[in-house]
Parts: sequence; C-alpha cells; structure tokens
Amino acid sequence: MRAVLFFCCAVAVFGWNPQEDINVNSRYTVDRVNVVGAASSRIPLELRRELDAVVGQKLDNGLLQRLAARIRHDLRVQTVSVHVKRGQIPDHVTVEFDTRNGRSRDFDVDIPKLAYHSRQGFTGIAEATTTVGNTAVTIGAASDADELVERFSGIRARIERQSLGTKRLRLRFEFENYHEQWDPSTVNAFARDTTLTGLDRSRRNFHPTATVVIAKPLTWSFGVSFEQLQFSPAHTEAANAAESTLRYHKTWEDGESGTQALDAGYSLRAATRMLDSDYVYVRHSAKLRYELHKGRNELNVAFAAGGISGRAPMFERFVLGNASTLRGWNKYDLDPLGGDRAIHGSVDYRYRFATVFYDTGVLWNGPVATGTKRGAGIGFRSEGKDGLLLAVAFPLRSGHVDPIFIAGFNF
Amino acid sequence: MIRSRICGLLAALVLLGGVLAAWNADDLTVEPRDDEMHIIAPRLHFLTGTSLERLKNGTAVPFDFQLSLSLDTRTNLYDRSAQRYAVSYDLWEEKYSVTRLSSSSTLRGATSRRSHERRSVSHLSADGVERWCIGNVAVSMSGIAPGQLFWVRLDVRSVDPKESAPLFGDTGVSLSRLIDLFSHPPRSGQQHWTLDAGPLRLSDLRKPGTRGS
Repeated sequence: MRAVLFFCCAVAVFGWNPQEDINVNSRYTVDRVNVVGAASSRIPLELRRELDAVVGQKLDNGLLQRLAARIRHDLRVQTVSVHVKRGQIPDHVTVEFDTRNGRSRDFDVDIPKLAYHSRQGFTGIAEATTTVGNTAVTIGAASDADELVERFSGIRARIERQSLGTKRLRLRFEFENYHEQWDPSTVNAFARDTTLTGLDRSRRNFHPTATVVIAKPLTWSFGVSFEQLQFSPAHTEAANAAESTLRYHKTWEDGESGTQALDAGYSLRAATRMLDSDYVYVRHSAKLRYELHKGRNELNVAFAAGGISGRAPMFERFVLGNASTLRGWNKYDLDPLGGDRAIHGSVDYRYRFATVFYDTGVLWNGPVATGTKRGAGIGFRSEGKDGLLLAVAFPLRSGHVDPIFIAGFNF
Repeated sequence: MIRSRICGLLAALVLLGGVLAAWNADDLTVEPRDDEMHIIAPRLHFLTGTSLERLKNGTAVPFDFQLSLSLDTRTNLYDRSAQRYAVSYDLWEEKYSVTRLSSSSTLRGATSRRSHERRSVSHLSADGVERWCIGNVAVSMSGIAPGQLFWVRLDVRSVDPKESAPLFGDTGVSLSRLIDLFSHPPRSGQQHWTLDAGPLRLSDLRKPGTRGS
C-alpha cells in the first residue's frame, strides 16, 4: 500500500509520463536545443531558460510539445515544428524548434502592464494587435499612475513595419491621446514653484521612428515626437523633439554559470525651435540592467540615470517612488513635481517564488535634492522580472514607517 | 463491327476486373489460428508520408487498427477488434520499435489473451513493424459454421498528434473509444487504409495456402 502511495506521489511530483515509455528515443539525452527561424534576441529570457533546462535531460516529447506551444505563444508564430536529430556524441540528441514556416499570428491581445501601488492606485494598459504580413497594427487603452508625475489616461495606436527591404530596418508610427489627472500635492507644489511650465489637461503625440540594427545586438532608433499640450481650450503648446536611442541587449547561456542578460540603453530627446517647439530642452536618460539566472536563483541589478536641461514639459520629468523605483516610497512624498535629474539603482534577488529587493536613488529639482533615499521589500514573484509580483516595501528611514503594498506584472 | 468492338471492350473490362480482383486478393489474406482469425497484408505499408516524417523526427506515432468480421452479408457485423500501436524510430540505431497500447478485447471477448498485455518489440525494420502490428490483430471465429460466408475488413489510421495525448495511458486505449474513433470518417490529412477480403468460407480456409478472394 505504501509502495502504491509512493508511486502515485512520485507520478504527481515528478510528472511521470507514460508516453515516454513508448518512444525508444526517450533513453537518449538532449545535448542541444535550438530555435530555428527566430532571432535569439526575440526569445524571452524565461523561455530561453526553459529551453536550456532541457539540455542534459532525457528526451521527453510531451515536454517538447509544451515548449513548442510556449514558443508559438511568445514568438507569435502560427506553427512550430519539433525536430529531433542525432546529437554530436553517441546516445545524445539535438532538438530543433522550427519556426521558419510559421506565419505571424493575425490577432493578439496583450496586457503590457498591470500594477497596483497602495498609495498611487491602479495602472493598466491593454493592447490589441493585428498583423498582416510583417506589418502590425496595435490599438490600446491606458490609465497609468505609475510612470509619470501625473496619471494619464487615454488611447494609443501604432503601426509597425518589422522590415523595410532589409530586416535591419524597422519603421514605427505611434499616436497617443491622453488626459491628465494631477495629484493635489502636485497642484499645491506647482503653485509655489515659479520655474516650471503649466500643468496640462491633455496631450496628443504623433511619433514616427525608425530602428536600424547596427550590429546585433546593438540597435539605433531615431525619430521625432510632435507633442501637443492643451492647458485650456484656447491655450496649447507644442513640445516637438528629435530623439535618438542606442540599445544593446545580449543574452549568454552557459550550462555552468547559468543564463545572463545585459540590457543597456541611452536616449536623447532634444526639443528645438527648428521643429516649431514652444519648449526648448534636452533630455538624457540611460539604463543598464544585468540579469543572472542559475538554477532556482535569479539576480537582477539595475541602474538608471537621467537629466534635463532647458525648459521641459511636465511629462518629461523623472519620477522615483513608484512600483519599480524606490519601492517603499511614495513619489508624491519624495517630490510631487518629479525631478529634472535622477539616479536610481536596485538589486532584486529571487529564490523560486520568494523575492527580496533593495532600491536606492536621488532626485533633484533644480539645485534641491531629495537626498539619498533607500527602500527595501519582500514578496513573491512568479517567473522572471515581468512575472506576477506581490510585495510589501518599506522606506529605510528613521521614525514612522508605513509599508507600501505593490502588486502586478510586466513592470 | 461495332458489336465486336463492344464485345472486345467488355472482355477487356472483365479481364481488368479479374486482374484487379487478383491484386486485391493479395492485399488481405486470412489465416485461421486456434479460435482466432488472423490476417496478413503484405502490400500494406503504413509507415509512409507524414507518419514516417514524424517518426524520423524522433516522435512516437500511434496507429489505430480495426479488424471487422461480417457474416452472411457485408453489413451483418459479427465481431470486431481494435488495437492501438505506438511506433517509434531509434535515431541512433535506425531501427523501429513498436508498443501495443490497447488492452482491448473483441466484441465476442474471445481474442487472444496476449492482447490484454502491453507488449513491445524493438530493433525491427519498417516491414517488420508492419507485419508485427497486423499479425497481432485478430477476431474470434467461434460459432462460425464451416460453410458460412463471411467478409473481413481491415482499417488502419494514423493518429492525429493532438488526439493521441489523452488516449495514451498506462492502461492503454479502450475498445469502445477506438471503435468510436473508427465510426467517424478520417479527418482531412489523416492517413488511412482500408482492405477487404470476402466472401470466404472457413471450410476453404482450413485448406493450407487458401487466400481470400
């Protein structure tokens, strides 16, 4: 009886699959897993990890079919065929997931961001994308209280061409139309600050960009942003800027040291009179993220910095103290007007589903700095940095401490 | 003149029919063994096309077999047996392996006791797999009079990869589930084969070397 119970438990825990008994190849060990027809940069890190985990295991066709379904979903291709071939060494096999014949999926609904911050409320973005050939058309709705000083709500749409003659060139045109809601603390602080521009009621943005793959994994995006701000029915201003972004993203896979990823980017936005802009400013921002996955351990180290010179609209200002920066702090307590310079660093460690994090950062508003602030938290996160997070975060400071509850995914 | 041409054409058609009948007769041969009726189909090759492609890709491919026996008329079903086999191709040894998944009995419940066991053979050639699968399908002959006319039909279908998963299990596939599958026409793209033999008589089959007509 005990043996039967043990067997049943083993089946439940280790996922014993009777299908594997019938496949003579299930005795062979997988020595390599390749995804054919898709750039490795398109494969999400989590999926890459799952694929890597197959190496060294006995061939399991059920698992391969589940991974094929995952690739279909994540890479948005219609078909993924699995090929198993002889490996490099005897009694080993190589697995290939072939996406080459996979036509892009015609329609997809996505939630790029969903977050809850106990002081700032909910943030949600939903998008629907339809793809015809290599052109994708996306429409979406957003209500975001997380990213900027204000909550902005409205619609956005974009059309993207994944290649134009060559896969090294991509084009994108984006349209956004948002209404702004300002926190009372921002309105009060704005009344006392004479250096800032007004608090707009709505803004509309037309944003064409092109991306050139300089040398994989380095890309350069450039374009212009024609942003119209409405302060009253009779008062609008333009914040038209040229922008340029360099981005580097690389993933390393190594059975011994795990999977590592480096994501670095630098953006420059320059609003000038030449573009008929009422605002003239230059905004720099830089981001660096390093990720390490090994076994059940995951480490994320992130750094971000930015600065604005000139007269910039409110939506360009930097924010710390939201669901992803200086967690434990409320951005309206740090500086309700945001800052024109910021530096932020964070370290996240996850073991299985348990996660701990530590954030530090400084925000400047002109010559006035918030001073170095620190926050820390603990919680649960499902797979990856974009997985579901449930966390309690605390500001590290003396005196009374109010915890902040953060939940959501994709932020 | 015209009459002689018509006669010639009819003679050619009769001859062609005879040749086709003889060809068909070789497709399915019936062999009585103990109380069971076994079959041989040397011309049937089901390890072909997409199934063969899947096998060479390292996947186990299931095949469903149904053997039907009708008495007196083609439509009067007397017994039926269904089996599911999973075939796989060893990528390193380049040999086939086959496992009988189903533990089904026939409608008459008199099929070989061996069919209730899950059984595997390996290191087979493609022809060997085909012979083994067909040789393990049988229906009951008990109760059939020696002079009674009967017909035999063999249906073989490759199993859709999406469909095969829930049917695989440690206890195999039930007869009723397999018969239910065969009660529906094959899906588009599904490989399938049907072979017929009959009318036959047991009294003729008892003679060694007798084949279905």
